[in-house]
Amino acid sequence: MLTDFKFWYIKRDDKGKILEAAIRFYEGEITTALEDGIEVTRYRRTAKLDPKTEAHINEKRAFRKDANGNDVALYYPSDFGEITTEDELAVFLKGELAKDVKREPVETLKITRDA
Amino acid sequence: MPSYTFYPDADPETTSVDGRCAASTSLTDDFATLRARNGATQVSSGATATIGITATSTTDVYSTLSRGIAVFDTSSITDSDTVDSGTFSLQATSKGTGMSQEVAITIGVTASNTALAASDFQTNTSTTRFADTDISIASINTAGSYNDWTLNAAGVANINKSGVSKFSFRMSCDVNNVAPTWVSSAAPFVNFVTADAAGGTSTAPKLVVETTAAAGSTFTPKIIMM
Repeated sequence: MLTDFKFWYIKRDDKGKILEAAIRFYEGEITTALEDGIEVTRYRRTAKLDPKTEAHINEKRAFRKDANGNDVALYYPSDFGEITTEDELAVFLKGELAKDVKREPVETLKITRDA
Repeated sequence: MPSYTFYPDADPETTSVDGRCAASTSLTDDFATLRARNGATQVSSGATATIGITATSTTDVYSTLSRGIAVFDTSSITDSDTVDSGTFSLQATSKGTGMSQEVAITIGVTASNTALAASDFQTNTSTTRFADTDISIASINTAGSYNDWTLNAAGVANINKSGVSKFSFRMSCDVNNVAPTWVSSAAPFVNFVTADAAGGTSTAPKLVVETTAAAGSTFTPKIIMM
């Protein structure tokens, strides 16, 4: 099973430094399905991970509830250091994905379309 | 003055959604009838959301109209903070020009916060822009950079500090409710990236919100020497 993350929100100060990042983690697999009438093979997420039951996310972690009351993991400069960009945050989060002993981090995949 | 950058929830959605709705492609109509059709399809788990309009080879007759929708969970904004401004942004993978079309931003209307329905097509007909400047399809960047729409006062007022904020991205003729200048078989479109695209670094629709903390919410220590 593969795994990846998505941002819910990123909070910055007026200098652009990231103060807080709310991150969702997923598991999924490579599947083929019709999209707009074309067969597309790509990574598709099958489930959102519960951050409170996944050891690599839950460890020493703060959480925030989203609009539907679901817990979302929060990360701070104490976790990722002084950064300003999503790319820097992604580098840190890829390291967090690597701590998942049950799943393999997905790399950025190119969409393939069969004519 | 903290800022927040929000992204829609990827499939499987639990709090917000993005994608597109479209009218049937098996029918052909004049513009007004096409615009008022009931929706026939929706895509909320694809890697892209295509918006556009397709003209047939018959004068002033069209076959397709599609509307994009992006919902953001903006409930993390501190209730006491003031929302000062907002920018709605999309990345695109490909486009096709024609009939001088632009992309405009309006309110989004969905029956559900976490799933799109074909019927959401007919509820997204607002003629009120949430950004005063449309972006022409010719100017839409498809090389990996965001296309930005600065929200006007109505757009900023649409940002919900206690729940979700919904936006729609549509063809300018659709928002204007004015038929485009028909061109035989013209099919202007834009494929926008959704939250379901692969990859951890987000290329998803995003909403950047600038806020001001409420007065007194930030403690400033003072020393009084006597």
